[in-house]
Amino acid sequence: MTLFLQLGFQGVALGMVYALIALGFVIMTKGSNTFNFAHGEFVAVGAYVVVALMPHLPYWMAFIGSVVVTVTLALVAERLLLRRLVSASPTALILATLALAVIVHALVLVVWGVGTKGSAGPVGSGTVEIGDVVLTYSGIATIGTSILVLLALLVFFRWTSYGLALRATASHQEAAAAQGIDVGRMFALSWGIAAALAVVASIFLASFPRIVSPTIGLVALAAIPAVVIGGLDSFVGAVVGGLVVGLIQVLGAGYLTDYGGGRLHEVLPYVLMLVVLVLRPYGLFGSRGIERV
Amino acid sequence: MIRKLVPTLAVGALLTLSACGGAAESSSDGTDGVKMGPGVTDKEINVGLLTDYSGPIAEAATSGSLGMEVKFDEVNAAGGVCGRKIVPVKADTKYDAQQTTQAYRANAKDMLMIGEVLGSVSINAIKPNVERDNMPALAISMNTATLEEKNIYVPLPTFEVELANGVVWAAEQAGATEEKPLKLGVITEGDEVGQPYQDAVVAAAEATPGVELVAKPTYAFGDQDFTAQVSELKAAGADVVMLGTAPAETAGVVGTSAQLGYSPQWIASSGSWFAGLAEPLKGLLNNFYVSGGYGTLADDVPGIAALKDALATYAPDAKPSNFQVGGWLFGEATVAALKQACENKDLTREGVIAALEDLKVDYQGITPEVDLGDGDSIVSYSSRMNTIGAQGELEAVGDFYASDAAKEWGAANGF
Amino acid sequence: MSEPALAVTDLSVRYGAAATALTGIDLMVPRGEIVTLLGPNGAGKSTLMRAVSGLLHVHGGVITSGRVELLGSDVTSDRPAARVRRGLAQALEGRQVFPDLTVAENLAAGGHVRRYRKAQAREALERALSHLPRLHDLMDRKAGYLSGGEQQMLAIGRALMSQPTVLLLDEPSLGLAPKIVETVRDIILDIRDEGTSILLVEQNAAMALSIAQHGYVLESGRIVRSGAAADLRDDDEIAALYLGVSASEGAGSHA
Repeated sequence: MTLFLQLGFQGVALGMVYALIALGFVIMTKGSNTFNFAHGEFVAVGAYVVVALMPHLPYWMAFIGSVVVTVTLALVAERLLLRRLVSASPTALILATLALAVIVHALVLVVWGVGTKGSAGPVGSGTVEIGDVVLTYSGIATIGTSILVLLALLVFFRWTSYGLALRATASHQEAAAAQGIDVGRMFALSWGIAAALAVVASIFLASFPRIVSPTIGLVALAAIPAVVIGGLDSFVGAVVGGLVVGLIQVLGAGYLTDYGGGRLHEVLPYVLMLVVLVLRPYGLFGSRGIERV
Repeated sequence: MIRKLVPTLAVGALLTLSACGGAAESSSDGTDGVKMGPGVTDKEINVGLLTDYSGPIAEAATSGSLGMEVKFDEVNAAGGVCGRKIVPVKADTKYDAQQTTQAYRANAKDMLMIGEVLGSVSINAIKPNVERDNMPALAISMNTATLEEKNIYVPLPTFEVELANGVVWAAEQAGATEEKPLKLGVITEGDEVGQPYQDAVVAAAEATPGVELVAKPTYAFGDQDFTAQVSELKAAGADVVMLGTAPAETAGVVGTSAQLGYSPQWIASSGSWFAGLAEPLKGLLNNFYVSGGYGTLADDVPGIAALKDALATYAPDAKPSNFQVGGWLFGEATVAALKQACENKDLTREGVIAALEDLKVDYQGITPEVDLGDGDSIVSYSSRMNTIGAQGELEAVGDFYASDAAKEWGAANGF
Repeated sequence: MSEPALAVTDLSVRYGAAATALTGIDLMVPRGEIVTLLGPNGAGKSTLMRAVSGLLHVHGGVITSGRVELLGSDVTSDRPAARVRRGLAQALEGRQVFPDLTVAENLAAGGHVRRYRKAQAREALERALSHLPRLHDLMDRKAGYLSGGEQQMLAIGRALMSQPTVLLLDEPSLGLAPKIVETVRDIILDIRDEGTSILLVEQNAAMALSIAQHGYVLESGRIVRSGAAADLRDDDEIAALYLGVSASEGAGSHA
């Protein structure tokens, strides 16, 4: 039982990180009709910039600095690439984001090299014990911060004019333009929010004892099954999907190692993703696309 | 399962285009009666250095290259090899498959041999060319998988050797006996990368009296949480844990253990350690050891003294780095091969390959003498233990030794 | 008050390299009046609406000559948002509400461009709802689940949220039962009476000509007739072509 609770706690913490990344995918997909494969590399940039700034600035300033850099990068990418491809086919758009991923990854390697860096998390290696279960500061900070960020997003999308405009654009682009909503600006806003979420996710994805390494961008793509499982257009789905993937990975590493060569926990999220795609292509929480009468 | 997606998409198509081109082997006799192959004249021998001069690991790789170059400078100042100067042909791989292929194709016809090619990315990119062109190549990639490639030699001990020796060392340290056995654990990646490391540790544990292997958890590439693996090691009561991990996973495993209140003795191969880990793992490395296949700049041996002299003479502004030691050793191996080929009056590629066969290279105390054997063998079973200094640098404890357990594992696996 | 609410002068439009969609259109909506634009499917009615609202580029269309003026200002090259801020609003053909937003959210999105403070937003909402009382009870319902008539009312209400001077209505009676068409007709008149100028595109010529002061007939991208609504209504040719068949069930035209 102790082991189960221990793994469960770590699984929820990791799942929250995936949830934040998955939310970024969902927001961009809804807001700009683009599934951005370069999102994982935005996570990488976020982590590397935090680590680069940490020795020189107080932590919170390093974090803000990284948000500024990463969001700027996302906005430039959105402006240069995607807005020009707005009328291109979805395949062309996806290929463009794949190209962007390779370019940003190469950029990260050129600037920071292939070696590993330190941790990027806001808290150190400390722990609190409840009974026999060890709650790490990293885990507590991850879960706590993620919940705050999710609440902030809820407020933004529910009760602010820009949040509403973004949802309206996601719902019906031409109708939004007809209401005088600047659709281009909404594309940019969605990419900016996703990039900011990527930075938050990155500091926890590289929180003690995890460290920043060049594969972090690919690791972030583990959120893709979370997105598909939850539903490409569902905020709730992204969070649930993230938790499902995190829990499968950590609990699976504990209880499934005797099966499938010890790699079942790596494969299972993708199996689940395929099952969902076949049985319920719009995801557990996604909308089938409400029909207009 | 998605880890290879992006690079594969980007590079895969390009790679398929690169399997042609190369160098026509032509030979002639020099005025001294030595048979000369590509890249050799009466005055010079061209040796290729295919490494990362401007890419992601350029800082370390350039430093390693410098170690080789000052070795050549030292030899050239003393008259060279066969009365010929060794000229490094520096080709930038940018640590990228496509760039490596281009660098190889642009320079292959002017090179007698490759003195270093860095990293499995680059090795894999050019191995068909190396095989077809009969190009002898020394590879910087210390695992047994590289050994089997044709014409490719690894002139230093591999990570598997380091781990097996580490098991024996730990048993001795603990005074392990059948009555009071040492409980050993090992953690590796659960795939073809980690398998040889786990095999080597399992074999060494079986061969060492008093060592009981109690847990061998694996992780999947991309795993971000090691609570399960650490819990398994902890529950099994492992006193010593062998790390066949990559550096990022080393941090994850050691850090998670500390958080879960588990503090065994850690023994890593040199491939599991990276100086940059000293910062995130600060305070957790008191019982952490690295089993390393060669020495450091801090050693008081003739080889290191010669390296320092050569650096002072030919590269006085260079910042000291342990990568220079590795480069120097590859330089030693290259020079030894050329000297043997000269003695055989055959400075062709075939001549160098023949010279490499069963070649003994004396590293002047930096690591014990190696025997290149048939090119598919482990060249040395010697390593030594190190602790970690404040900046993450290795500090030797004890001397080089080659355990029977490591040798038996190698023999059993055909190395 | 001399300049018209909306004036289109010598406007020509083409889509990509394809044939010209509109040629030399002249059209005017005087202040406080309803002007209707009639024409068969494919005549170019929607294209003209898009040229006026600024959404032409979304469909790959380009203005090759001519001008669009809103309250005397040239808006030919303005973005849609700028035109809405100047007082232009539209209810798109096919109603095109935001299906997964609630009625309240749909309406609020219509006011986004005005950056209302809370009190202003409430006032705008009250004004819009005063024309569309039916929406009162539907505020929390998702727009995708409304009936056709309710969606049409919502589309109009959403357009009213920016408190426009000129309202473009694209086929508001399309696909609606006759009784509902009556209701919509009354709503349009009601809005006009408040002082809003309206350009009404309709296939239901009988309804349109019954409330408009002026009408234009578009065929193959050209204006072929124009005049007072009463004259057009009495015109035999118009009657034969449009009033007789009163094509209220036709599909939307796109080019």
